[in-house]
Amino acid sequence: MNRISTLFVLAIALFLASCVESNNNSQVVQVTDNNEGELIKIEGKIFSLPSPVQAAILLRNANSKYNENLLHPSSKSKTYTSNFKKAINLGIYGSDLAYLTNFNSSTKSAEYFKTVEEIASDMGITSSMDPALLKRFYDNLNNRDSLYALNSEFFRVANAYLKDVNQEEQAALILTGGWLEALHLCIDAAETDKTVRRRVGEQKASLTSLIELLSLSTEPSTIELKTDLEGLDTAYESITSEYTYVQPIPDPQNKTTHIRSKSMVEVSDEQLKALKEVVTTIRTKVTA
Amino acid sequence: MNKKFFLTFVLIPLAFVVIANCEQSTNFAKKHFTKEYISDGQNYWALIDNDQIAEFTTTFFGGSTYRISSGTGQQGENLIFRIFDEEKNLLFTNQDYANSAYWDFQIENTVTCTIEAQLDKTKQASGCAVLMIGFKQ
Repeated sequence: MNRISTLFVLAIALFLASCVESNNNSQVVQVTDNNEGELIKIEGKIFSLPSPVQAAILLRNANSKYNENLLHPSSKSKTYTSNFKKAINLGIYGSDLAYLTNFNSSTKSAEYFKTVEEIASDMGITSSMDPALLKRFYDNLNNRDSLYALNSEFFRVANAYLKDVNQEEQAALILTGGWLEALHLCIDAAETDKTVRRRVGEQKASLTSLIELLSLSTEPSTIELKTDLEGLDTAYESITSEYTYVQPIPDPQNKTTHIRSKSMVEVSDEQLKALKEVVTTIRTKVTA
Repeated sequence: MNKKFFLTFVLIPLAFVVIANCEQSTNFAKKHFTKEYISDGQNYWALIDNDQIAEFTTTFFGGSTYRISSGTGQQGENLIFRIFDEEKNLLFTNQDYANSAYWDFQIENTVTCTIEAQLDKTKQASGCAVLMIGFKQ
């Protein structure tokens, strides 16, 4: 039934796109500083959040020590019955899996991938996946670089599937869980590592996107989560950042542009402690 | 028009066309993701016509190299994308490079960017526009 309703929505969207003048569409907002077109926000449904795999790689590069206590126990996965809990914890386990990949622990990685696979299967996601993707995961448990890529691909396919079947909220919750867990893992390492601490401070824009994303929901659990994240946003308010534009240098031969702008964000011990407290509270709540 | 007829012969086939178009666009964009790049795990797509611009905000972290890849159906060069910083300074547009279907970005310091995507109306009137973002390991 979901797929049918999605087909209707997509068909109607295409039909409207081809038949209706853009300036009659309520979703379209005029952009005053761009006279080449109109901005379509698509009800704010396009969002971008940092990849948990990228956060894991940052921790690897910072030589962060393995700490099993930071992980969300895989045994807890069987206790989740609501769609909200399944989706958000799928994201959390995905981040944990990326973290485990740093330490070449094939047994633990297999355990967490199995957990991810089971929740995704329960949500109907894996039925849309190429079985070869799942097989490749188990075949590459000792290949760290492949595992990072496969983890990302798994969640990219899941994201695409949920959007296809009109379950944007589930897709958003998975992203939220992944982002929250990555922040939890980074905050721990940020106590001793300056680069990771800076990355923690740089999450403010992502948090703003996340709150906006969850604002589309009418589900009580999601609304409550959004309120909790607004509390985190308040904790971020005291963290100041600076940005200075510097002209980028293009390198057309290598299809590359060097973005040289300067930015600075500093997080004090007290600010880090405050962030940790809020993140721990939210994480405890959504994993309960 | 009879409702059943409209549903059976217009809406549902149209929806399949849209899904197929978005899948084609994604597959095209994926072609430029070589092994050294890892997807950020998200899909950025929008159905747009020639007067519309899809927009989203993202953060590029300092010390990283990113690749942005585009697709509209089986083409990449039909989509124009622009990247602005938080002060609305234009950092890049593929329009300067024949609408190149992909481009890499070496980021010195973290920047919060707005990415806009628009069909090149001289080449395509409407369709499913897909952008993919990946980062280098």
